[in-house]
Amino acid sequence: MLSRKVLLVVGAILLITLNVIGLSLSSRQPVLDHGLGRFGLVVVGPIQTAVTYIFDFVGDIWRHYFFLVNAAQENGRLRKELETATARIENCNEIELANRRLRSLIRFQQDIDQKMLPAEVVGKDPSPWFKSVIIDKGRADGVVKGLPVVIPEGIAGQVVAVSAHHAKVLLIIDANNAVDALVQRSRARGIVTGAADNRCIFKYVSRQDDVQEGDMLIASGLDGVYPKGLAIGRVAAVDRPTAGIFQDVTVTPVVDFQTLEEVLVVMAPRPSEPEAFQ
Amino acid sequence: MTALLFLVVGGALIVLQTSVLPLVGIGPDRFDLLVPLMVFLGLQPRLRDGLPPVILIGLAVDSLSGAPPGYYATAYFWIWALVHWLIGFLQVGGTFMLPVALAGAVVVENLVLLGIPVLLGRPGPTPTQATGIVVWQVAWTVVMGALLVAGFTAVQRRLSRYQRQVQARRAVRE
Repeated sequence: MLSRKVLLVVGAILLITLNVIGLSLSSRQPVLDHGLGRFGLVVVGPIQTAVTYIFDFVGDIWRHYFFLVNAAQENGRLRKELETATARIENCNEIELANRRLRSLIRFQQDIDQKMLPAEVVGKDPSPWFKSVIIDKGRADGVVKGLPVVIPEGIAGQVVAVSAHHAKVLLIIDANNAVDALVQRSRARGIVTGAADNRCIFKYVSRQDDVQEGDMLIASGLDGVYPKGLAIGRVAAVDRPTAGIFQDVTVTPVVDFQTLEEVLVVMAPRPSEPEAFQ
Repeated sequence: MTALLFLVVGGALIVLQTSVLPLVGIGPDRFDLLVPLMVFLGLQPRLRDGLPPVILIGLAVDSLSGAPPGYYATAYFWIWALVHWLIGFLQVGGTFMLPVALAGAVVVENLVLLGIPVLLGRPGPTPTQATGIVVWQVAWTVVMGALLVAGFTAVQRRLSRYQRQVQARRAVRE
C-alpha cells in the first residue's frame, strides 16, 4: 500500500504534467475568442469604461479648478497676446489650408476606401509579460476579430477578442503578434514581432538585405491584416552574427504604447489588398 | 458568502489594476494586486470559500490579458493550492510567514507566466529584464500585499460579525 504522502506527491506530479500539457495545447491558440475567453470582457469591460469616465470627469473638475485660480492672472497676459495671435491666425489659416490640400493628395489612396472607428483605451494588460489593451468598441459597433488598430503615427495592434461593447487588442509589442513588414528605403522584407522592453524584432531578414540603423519599417500589406504603408517603427540596432542566414534587427515602434489613449480601428480592408491570408 | 464577497473584491482589484493604476503611472511591472488575494483565499480553511473565486478571477484576468488562455487561472490556482497545502502544517498567515508566502506567490506566478512560454520555446524577456521586474514585484508585494491581506482579514471579520448578528436576530424572532 502506498502512503498518503507518496500518493500526494504522485498526484501533484500528475496534476503538473496535465497542467503543462493543457497549457501547451492552449498556447497554440494565443487568445481564446469564445466562451471563457470573453468572460472578463463582458463582466469587467463595462466597469472599466465607467471607472475611466469617472476619472476623466474628476480630472476635468480638478483641471478647471486650477484654471479658475490662474484665469485672472492669465487674462491680462492673454489680452496682450491676442493682438499678436490674431495676425498669426490669418497666417496659420493659410498654412492649414495648404497643409490639408497636400495631405489629402499624399494620403488620398490610403484614406479613400477605409472606414476608421475611433475607440478609447479603457484597460491595460494586467501582466508585464503580455501586451494588450481593452477598447470601448465591440461587436455592436461593427468590430470583429482580426481588424487592425492604428493611430495616426502608425500601427498599434490587432483585435483578438470581441464582446458586445468591448474588444481586446493585442499590441505589436506582444511576442504573439506579427506584422509582415518592409524596410521603406530598401524594400527588404521580414516579420516584425514583439519583444521585451516595449520593442520589436524584425525577423527573417536575410543577411544580404540592406537594413541600416534609423530605417523606417512599414507594413507590407501581405499579411492581409495591416494596410500597406502604415508605419511600424524605426530600426534601432542591426546585428549580423557570424553564423546563420538572418540578421538580428531591433525595432523601436513609432507608437508610444505607454501613453496610448485613443486608437482607430480600421473597419474595412482596402480592396487592393490580398485576402488570401485572412 | 465569503466566496461571493471576495469575488467582488477581486473584480474591484482587476479594475483598479487595469484601468486606474495605469492612469497614475503604476504599471503591472510593479505588482499584481491579485496575488495577495490568492494568498488570502489560500488561507481559508474551507475549499468552497477559496477555490471558486480563485478560478473565476483567474479566468477573468485571462480574458483581459494578452496571455494565452489559462495562464492566469493556472498561476492563481497553484498559488492558492500551495498556500492551502502549507496551512496544514505552517502558520502561513503569521507576521513572519506571510511576507515569505507573498514573495513565494509572486515567484510561482512568474514561473507560470514566464516559465511556460520559455519551456514551449516562445520568445521572452532577457534574464536581466525578467529578474529586474520580478525583484520589483516581490518587493512591492511583500509590503503592499501584507497591508492588503490585513484589509481582507478585516473585511472578512466584519462579514462574519454581520452574519452572526443576522443569525441572532432570526433566532430571537423564532
